[in-house]
Amino acid sequence: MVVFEDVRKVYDDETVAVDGLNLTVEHGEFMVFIGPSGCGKTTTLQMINRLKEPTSGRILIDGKDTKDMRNVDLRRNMGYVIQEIALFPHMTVAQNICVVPDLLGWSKKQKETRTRELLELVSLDPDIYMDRFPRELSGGQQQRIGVLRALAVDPDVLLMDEPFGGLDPLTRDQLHEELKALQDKVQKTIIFVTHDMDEALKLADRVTLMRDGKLVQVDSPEEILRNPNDEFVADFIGSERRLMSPLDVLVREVMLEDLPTLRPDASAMDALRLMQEKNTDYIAITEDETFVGMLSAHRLQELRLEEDPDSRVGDADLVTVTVDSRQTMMEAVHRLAETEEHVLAVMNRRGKLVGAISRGWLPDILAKEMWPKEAAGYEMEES
Amino acid sequence: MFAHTLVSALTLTANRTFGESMMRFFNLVVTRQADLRIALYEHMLLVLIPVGIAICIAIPLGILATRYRAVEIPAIGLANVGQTIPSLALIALMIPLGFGIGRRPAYIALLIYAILPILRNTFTGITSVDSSLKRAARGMGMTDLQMLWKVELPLSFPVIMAGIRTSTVIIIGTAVLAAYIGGGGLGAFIVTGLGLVRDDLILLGAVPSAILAIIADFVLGRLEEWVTPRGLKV
Ligand SMILES: Nc1ncnc2c1ncn2[C@@H]1O[C@H](COP(=O)(O)OP(=O)(O)OP(=O)(O)O)[C@@H](O)[C@H]1O
Ligand SMILES: [Mg+2]
Repeated sequence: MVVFEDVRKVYDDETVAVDGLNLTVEHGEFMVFIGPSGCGKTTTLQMINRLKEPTSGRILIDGKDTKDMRNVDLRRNMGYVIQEIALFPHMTVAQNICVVPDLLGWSKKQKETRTRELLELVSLDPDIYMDRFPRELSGGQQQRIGVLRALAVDPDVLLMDEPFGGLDPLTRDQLHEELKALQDKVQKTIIFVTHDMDEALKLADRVTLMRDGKLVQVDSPEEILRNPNDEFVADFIGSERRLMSPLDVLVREVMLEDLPTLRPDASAMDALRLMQEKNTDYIAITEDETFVGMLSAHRLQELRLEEDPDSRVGDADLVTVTVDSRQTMMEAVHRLAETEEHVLAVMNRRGKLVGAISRGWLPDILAKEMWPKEAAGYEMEES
Repeated sequence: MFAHTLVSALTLTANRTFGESMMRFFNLVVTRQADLRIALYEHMLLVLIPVGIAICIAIPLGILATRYRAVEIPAIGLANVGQTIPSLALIALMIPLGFGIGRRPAYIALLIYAILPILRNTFTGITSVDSSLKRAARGMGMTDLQMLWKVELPLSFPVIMAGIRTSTVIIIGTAVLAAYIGGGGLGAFIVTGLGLVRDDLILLGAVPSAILAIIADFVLGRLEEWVTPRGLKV
């Protein structure tokens, strides 16, 4: 957990780079800092590992003030991917990855095992790449090594300063997928800086929007998209989103939330009533916060209420097809078509149910994405 | 006195053909072989001792200058000023400065001259290591010494080696002037040759020192390539 308490940074030339920052990044959270160039993102990041000292305020890591830790210990226990990548040109890929293990005095064997493991993680063949020098790598490969270098000693906290800047969209997408897969596997607290909204929405658990050294909004990506705090945030989102195809939007931006829920032992009659009341054609069945399945109106009919009014929703043939909330609608639509189901459960990266995509809603969702103005107008007329 | 000898030397070479001078020079190489060998040995000492000591002083000083401004300003300032003093003047200055004549003042004067290129190259070599690499090194938890040893020195090694090469080649040439204050070496032939107006004697000093400089340049150039980290070679 990383906590900022009234953190302020004023440079010698009186530039106020960070102005009264209060923020808590939870353990295991993927926090993305975003904002226009010069708003203080890098400064904020570098204050965490004390490459820069706050002018005032405190930064706590797991409750301990970073000022009370030895600089080198603090940094060795924290992964850092710097904006300029900065692989050491005179070291091989393996040596670059093992900089921190080296400082910590790992054995040769340990280092080799770890290097192989990490390279395989990003699908680079260790036998080919281990002994190469940075200049013998493509830009994307260098950025991967930059990330691996930060992961080498498996730190709890990872600081990443625009790690994928200046890459072509394809490579970038691929690295996003790899990073997401990694985060799913190893649950780190990641503080990630970018000025690309799409990247933020795709990766973040929460997004921190900054302007002129101040926080403008700290919220989940869905919340930021839905309720931008002010004009600045709206503009920032808007300018990034104009050129997207409706199928490129992320599932979590358009999914249905606040699902009607029932426990598996609820009766089918309850389910029918709930659907009529909420005017939906599906219900999420959960038990103790765990997702069991989706009950669609279709499947409810199959229970034959007339014949067996006592049947439980848990007996129905529940839909268990899911989609990751960070996938695009393209993937969701594909999955609906493939499975011929009427509804998909949307899970976040921790495997928790967060929403649903239903066949019935699809045209509305797409229309809203394609013609946001008209859709909004239409809604107003209706209400 | 210099002007006088120079003028006579010039008239002398103008009056004889270069071929004739060379013939007499080759004769001299054979007849004065023993003297030549001693002079060559002395000359090498005049180069190796100052350059060796200069390396030991200039590299640490250059490193300190990158760490402390209190060292940087006087050291780099002196290095730059020192470089502009003509070498003959620096050597001649040893006498009024109270070092007297002989080998010792020659070593001191040459040492001062040898330090400059190495000091300057060490300083610029280290300070021109990309600042993002230094930030990465510190961000990963290297101490200042570790950063110096693992990042800054390996990356600036070729530049430092180039400084040593420049210094050596310059000193091979400058050491010739040491003979004016009784420092010995190949320069002694030249000084005597100028005095006696004998071009074969001048050549006996000039040719071997030129060859020495060329060999040193070549060998050190090779060494420079050899110490360049593999990842930096194109
Ligand atoms: N060492 C420094 N001395 C003085 N001012 C600085 C220094 N470093 C950064 N600044 C200033 O502080 C402000 C914040 O800089 P910072 O690097 O944190 O921005 P950023 O949000 O990371 O921008 P970018 O997206 O361009 O990387 C800027 O106005 C910058 O000019
Ligand atoms: Mg930045």
